[in-house]
Amino acid sequence: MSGFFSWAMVGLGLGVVMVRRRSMAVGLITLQSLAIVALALREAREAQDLIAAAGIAARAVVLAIVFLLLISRTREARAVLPSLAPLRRGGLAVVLALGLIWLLSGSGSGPCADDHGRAAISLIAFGLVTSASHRATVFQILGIVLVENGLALVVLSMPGTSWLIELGVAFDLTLLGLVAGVFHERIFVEFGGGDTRVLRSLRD
Amino acid sequence: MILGVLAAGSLLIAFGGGLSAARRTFAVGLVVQAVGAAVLAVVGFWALAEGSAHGSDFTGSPTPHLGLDPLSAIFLGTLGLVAAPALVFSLRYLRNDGPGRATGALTAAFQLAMVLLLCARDPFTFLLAWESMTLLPATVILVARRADPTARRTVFTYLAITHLGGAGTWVAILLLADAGGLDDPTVIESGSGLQVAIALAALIGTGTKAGLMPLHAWLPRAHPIAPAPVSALMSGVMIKIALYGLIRIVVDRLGILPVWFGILVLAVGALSAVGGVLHALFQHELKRLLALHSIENVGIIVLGLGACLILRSRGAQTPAALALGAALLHTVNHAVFKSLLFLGAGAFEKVTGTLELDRMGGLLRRLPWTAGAFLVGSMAIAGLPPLNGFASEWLTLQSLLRVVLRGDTADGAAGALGLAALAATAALALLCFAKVVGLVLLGPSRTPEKTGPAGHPAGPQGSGEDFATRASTVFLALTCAVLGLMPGLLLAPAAAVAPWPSERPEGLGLDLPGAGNLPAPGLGLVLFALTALLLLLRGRRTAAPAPTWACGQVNEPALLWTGSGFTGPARVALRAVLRPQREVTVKSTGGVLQEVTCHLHVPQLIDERVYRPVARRSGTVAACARRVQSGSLSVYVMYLIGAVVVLLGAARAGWLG
Repeated sequence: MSGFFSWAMVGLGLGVVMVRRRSMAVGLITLQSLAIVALALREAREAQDLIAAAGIAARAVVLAIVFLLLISRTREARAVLPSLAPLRRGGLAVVLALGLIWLLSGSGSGPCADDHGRAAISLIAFGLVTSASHRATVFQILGIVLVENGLALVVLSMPGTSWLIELGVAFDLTLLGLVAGVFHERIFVEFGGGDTRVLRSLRD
Repeated sequence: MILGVLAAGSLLIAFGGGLSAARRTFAVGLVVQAVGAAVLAVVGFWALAEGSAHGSDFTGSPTPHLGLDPLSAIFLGTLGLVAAPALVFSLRYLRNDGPGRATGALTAAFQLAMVLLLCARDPFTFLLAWESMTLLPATVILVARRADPTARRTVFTYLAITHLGGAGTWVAILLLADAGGLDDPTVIESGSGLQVAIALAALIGTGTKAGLMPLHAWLPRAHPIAPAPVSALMSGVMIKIALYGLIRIVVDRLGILPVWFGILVLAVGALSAVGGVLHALFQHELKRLLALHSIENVGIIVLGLGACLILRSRGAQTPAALALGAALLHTVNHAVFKSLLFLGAGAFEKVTGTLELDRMGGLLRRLPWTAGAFLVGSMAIAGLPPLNGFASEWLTLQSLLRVVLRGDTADGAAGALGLAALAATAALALLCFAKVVGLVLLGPSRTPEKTGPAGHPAGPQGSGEDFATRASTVFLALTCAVLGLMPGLLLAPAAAVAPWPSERPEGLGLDLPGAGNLPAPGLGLVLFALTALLLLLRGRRTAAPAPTWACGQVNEPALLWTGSGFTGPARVALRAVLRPQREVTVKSTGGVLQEVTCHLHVPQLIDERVYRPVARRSGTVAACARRVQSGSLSVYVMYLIGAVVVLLGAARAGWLG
């Protein structure tokens, strides 16, 4: 996998952190997932690898459909603005990514030994920052998908990983997306918007 | 063969549980479950008599392994022996409605969890079954009393205490598995720190579940609020299976423990026995009183276990095996008479609509079979010959005597204190059940004849004494008599459970090697002959009813005996220990006395002095900790990020090894 490809993935991930529109973020995530599928197909050596790639592709498409359907069914009367400005979110994400890479690169081997690994760690950091800095419920789910894309990127660099595990993770994530979607709709119906801040009233 | 029959019994229980969940097949389901339980009883006692292990041996591997050995078998037999009549009793006790059917189905799951625990031979299955055994009765109580906020609060207390204390079981099992003690008991060095740590963790973990003082706070709250058959299973079997865990770890898997640990076990047993019976004595609610007696009887079992551990440490192998046999025999005996008493309490509640001792009375005339069986159970729990409670308490007494005779200064003194505790317990239990029998079974009825109790249907004739109730209680009463007259039936195989060589007692009575003997069948025959002679002499004559003399006053219900009145002298004598609280309210109008109300309360001292302050302080700490629980999803993700960064930082600094 080329350095350019890795950093393109990082760019897409950073885009998800910084954009405000939900549909835009879904588009970027789907594009990123499909890029991972393309990478998986290119590096496939056995039929099992192809099955795993098909699983990731199915997950990307199903989740994209689910998210777009959700967005169309739950139009916000007013935009749910994130807690931080786009540049601050981006800055925070980059700082966290660099921090994690530094923490993980102590031995000179391990996941941060090459661009591929560093890109994967960056995606995980971006996913966490997306969930933490956005208030819109859909972004919370997208943050998790971003983390999973980072993990998928790590897995692709590890030879001998069971295709069953990859399929299982893809299935789990699809299921999680569906359940989270149901919760999002329920929150929207109960509170009239998909803002996680309203959930604080449930604390007591 | 044995494992095949065991699987068949378990399948019958599972199938019966499924049938109980449906309206049309509810009763059939309970019957099928009862048949399954009876099969388990047969398998258990058959495997105990055979004395050999079946299936897998214990292993530290996390993959599921199942098996059965004589120690599991005696508990399995007890489970079946209690569950079968309890399920027959349920036929008329449980309603065929939503909560009733759910209770029927959950009872099957509860039994299966206990079977799984007894057959578990690996740590994963054991702990899975252990947790299921905790959660399922909680679910039953919530289903049966879903509209009752007090019951929900009680379940919360039960789960909180058993989970907190139960952590000890996890620690013990996982340490044991890690050290290889599950595969080979000899690998853990005797007297080592690891051995002591495992033993202490097991005592706390299993002791909490068994209701040992001072970890008992959940038991008198949770057992009484369950439906009667489930109370019977909880008090009769579940807490015994917790003791199975303790015996399995400290006797079977840990080798010879230091003498001080045996003394500690003895002390805990003595505290539970005396504390349990003291609090039971001043109880006014029948099922709560029975629950407190469970603490007392668990204490007696643990006294036997403590004697076994001390004697084994001193190298007295045969007396140690007999002490273990005494503990196991009392386990079976208590399971039988306690489930009988709980079923009896359930039947009485059906008829009178109350469990308050001072509102019952005359039930021996109203329910002759059930109340008669209850009387037998009361005599057994009070340790009266020739019933089973007497046999196992006598054996425990003999074991404690051996501790005094063979021990050093410290363990000899502990044995003497244990003896004193057992003697006091027996006397107080007799006083307590004299009160129960007097108030509940004798005297005039204090409730209307055909009262429908809250939450339970009246019996078919309004009497509550249908065939299922009679059959189940009379069967258990007969079992009390058989086990009392022929305790040797169980004692010999129970003593042989000890994993060290020892001489086995012989005969149907209690013929102990190197000690005295108790010819229980002979005593029984003499008692039977004397009773028959008295009946013969009495002929057709009956006592002429006459009014009670009340110093010339008119006999009013207010002059009847009450529980407080009966135990008044004991309360005064034990005032310094029990700290009873008395509240007197005097109402007078225009200088003329109108009414005097006296409210007496004997507090649970451990609750008041230990648990309440701990709970108050925990609440304060929790209120501070709650500040970090902001309710914001973003903040929670930030916590997650913080935790990841801290862990990675620690790893980079080499602090995580």
